[in-house]
Amino acid sequence: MNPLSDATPKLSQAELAKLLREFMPADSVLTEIESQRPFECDGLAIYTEIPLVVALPETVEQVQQIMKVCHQHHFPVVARGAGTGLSAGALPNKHGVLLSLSKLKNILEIDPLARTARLQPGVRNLAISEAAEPYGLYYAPDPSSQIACSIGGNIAENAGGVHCLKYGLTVHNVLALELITVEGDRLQIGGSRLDSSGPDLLAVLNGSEGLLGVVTEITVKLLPRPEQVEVIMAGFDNIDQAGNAVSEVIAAGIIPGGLEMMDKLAIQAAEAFAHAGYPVDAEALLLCEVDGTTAEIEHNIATISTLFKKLGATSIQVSENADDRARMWKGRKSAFPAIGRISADYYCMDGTIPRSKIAEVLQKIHALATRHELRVANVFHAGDGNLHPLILFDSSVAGEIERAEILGGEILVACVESGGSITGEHGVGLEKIAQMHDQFSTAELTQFHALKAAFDPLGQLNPGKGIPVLKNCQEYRSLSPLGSSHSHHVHNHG
Amino acid sequence: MTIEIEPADLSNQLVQQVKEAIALKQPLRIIGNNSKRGLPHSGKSNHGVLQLAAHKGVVHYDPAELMLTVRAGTTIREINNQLAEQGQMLSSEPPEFDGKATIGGTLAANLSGAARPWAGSIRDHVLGVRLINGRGKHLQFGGQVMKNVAGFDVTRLQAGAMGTLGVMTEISIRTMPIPAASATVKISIAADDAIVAMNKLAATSAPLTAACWQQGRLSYRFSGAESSVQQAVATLQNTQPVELLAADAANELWQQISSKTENIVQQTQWRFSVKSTAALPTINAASNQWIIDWGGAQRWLDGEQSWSEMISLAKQMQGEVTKFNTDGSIENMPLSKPLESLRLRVKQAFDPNGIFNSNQWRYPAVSLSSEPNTDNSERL
Repeated sequence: MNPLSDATPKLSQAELAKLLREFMPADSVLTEIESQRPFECDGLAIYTEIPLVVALPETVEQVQQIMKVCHQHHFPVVARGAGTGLSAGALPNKHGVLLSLSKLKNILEIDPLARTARLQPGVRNLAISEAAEPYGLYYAPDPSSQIACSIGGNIAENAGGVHCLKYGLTVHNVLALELITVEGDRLQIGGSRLDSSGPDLLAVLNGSEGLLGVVTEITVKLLPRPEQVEVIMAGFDNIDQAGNAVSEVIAAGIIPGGLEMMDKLAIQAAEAFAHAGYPVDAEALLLCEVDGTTAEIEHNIATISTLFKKLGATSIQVSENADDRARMWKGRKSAFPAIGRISADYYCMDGTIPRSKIAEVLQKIHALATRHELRVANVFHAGDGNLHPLILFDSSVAGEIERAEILGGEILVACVESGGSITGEHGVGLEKIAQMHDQFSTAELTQFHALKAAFDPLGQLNPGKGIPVLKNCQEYRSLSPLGSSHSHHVHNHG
Repeated sequence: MTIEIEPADLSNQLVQQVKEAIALKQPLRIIGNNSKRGLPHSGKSNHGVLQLAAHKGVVHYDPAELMLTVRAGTTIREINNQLAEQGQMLSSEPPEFDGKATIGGTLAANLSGAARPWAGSIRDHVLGVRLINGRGKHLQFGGQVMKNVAGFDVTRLQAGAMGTLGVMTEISIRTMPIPAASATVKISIAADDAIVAMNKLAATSAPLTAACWQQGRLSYRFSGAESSVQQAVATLQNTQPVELLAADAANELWQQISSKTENIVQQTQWRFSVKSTAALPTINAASNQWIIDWGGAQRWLDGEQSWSEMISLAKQMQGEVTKFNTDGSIENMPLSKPLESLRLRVKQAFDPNGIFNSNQWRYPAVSLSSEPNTDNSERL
């Protein structure tokens, strides 16, 4: 074991850039602060850092060579996709290389009969479904950032979306990855088959937040588009009723394509922003999408509408066409920018909880927010228990950002205590590294470090993220004291 | 027939046994009900056996959460029976192996039934595990919620690991509703045409949940709402002669296909995991000897063919091959050198003393492309 901290890079920025420019065009290696600025943060802009060098490879071979140089000279490497992540997972390391994969953006192959797509990591999530559209196919995981986020970043975060309940997360929809190891070796993990012998390394790489290797090619599954899709929208007078309604739909044997909940503040903000026709007086709103054959949908809509009425829905609307559906979803999908309009800043959390605990956890969040004198709007992937509390704050008011961060941490603890997790789809990154201790014991964190060391013995890959350093565990220490440092600036979202 | 074992939590004893084995540097062979006829013996005289069959029982089941937590020795049949009372199932349809298969063994071997391409594998549905690692620590990964990206996915890493990374004591898994209706139909068709037909049908919105070809006959199963199942059958009937199976016959057919490895006592079996659309390669035997399941993605051959011939077939079909021997042992196609060394390092990360199922990975004495022979069964 030879942790990175014992082998601090000896080369200067100029020397590193010179080595990289031996096999890359000069303008693909950025060393000036002005040109590096666009890479200083990801979607969680309260954390910023300027890297030593930004590298923009155009080929897989260049990625391999960059890794070889960095490995030889012990430079940290932080891989970056589209930079839409929400946990500062792509925050640069100031002593290392920020490896942007945005130029590797080709769709290499769509195989309509096998229903697969072979992609470079920089391909945008939505572009996959657009390319598959002529064959009646699509790529299922659809994070809200799908217009901008890249499939490589989706792998790093095991991205979800609003259709996970039925169609799974990224890990359920990926067949193969090409991985460049920290040493610069090129490995094929998985294949165009459904499963491979041996421990499931493919699963470990999904959601590994750039800590284990650099993904340069992805093979995903494509699904046939359902014959028909409709949305039922229902308002409720209280969160309890809405929570029960979610459980009752599932207990009735129906797995909806999507099942989303919003609380009053989120409903009102979304309605003001998107004019989706939401009931602004309701305490809770459910959006339930059903898909399948026309006959199946008619049957399921009737069942669900009856259930919602029985459980006290104050309003029910069923989409009649694609425009209706788009309008109903627009409010939900634009919930984050909508909150951005009613608050100078907001901070998005990503806990998961058992569905049955929804009312209990929301009450707790409300109580915590009151204590910190902050407002929280909640949007919730109710079907799969993934809660997105949006903490509203104003960074120009002294102390608010600190209170927002403390509240965020307390909300995550509440999620863990209810039997859930600190992150459902945004990842740990730098943001939730302290809360990892709330979810995992030292022995479990030690096991994570050991697994990381199997891929990255020197701890060069995205140091300081994902797994917290264990003070009393030298054996698997992978964080450099330098590598984990970061500045902490405030940026306005609104 | 199986011996009924009362549900019990033996995790403290199991942790103790692992700690003793670590202290003695004694390899342990982990077994459930031995339904997969056991792992190969390590050849070392001092190896011990860690029995999981008695560590069984449901810890928590919440149908509305679609979530079940069970001890690893619980059998698939016991789980299926309990879920059926609530109208639910394990949607990956893992084989029951005459009532003996346990959930722990099923996850360790990542075994799935006929629904796998559409409903996912047990790996896809597992949510969390408790695991005793090779440091004697009883750890918890994942949990009872479907979305959880905190830390590495150690839970799914166990799928296919064959118990080499630790002792799974408790498994949380997602359950799904049993479809309201189901229908199985048979069509007469040649193997090559069947591969194309299965893939074409899978690319439509028809509620397909199984597709398998054997001996000139292609069987499809449709499951879901009554109306969509009827519509799918009618659509097929409009284009060709179709035989509709009675419910009992259909269940028997799919169970027999899903439990393919149950009968390996009689003959060696080769299992190919391949690209679903890959054309059948030319072999010395007639194509009727193939069984083509999973909509083309899993294929079986019986017999004593040579490893090199089978690897060549696997490569032509863009996949890999596993050999199920009549003595119950399993051999895998060799991996590339860098992948092999990564797998070894992952093993060491969990089990630095090489305690668990140490002789699990067996490779034939053949080389993979230009790679040197990677027979390293003793190293793992």
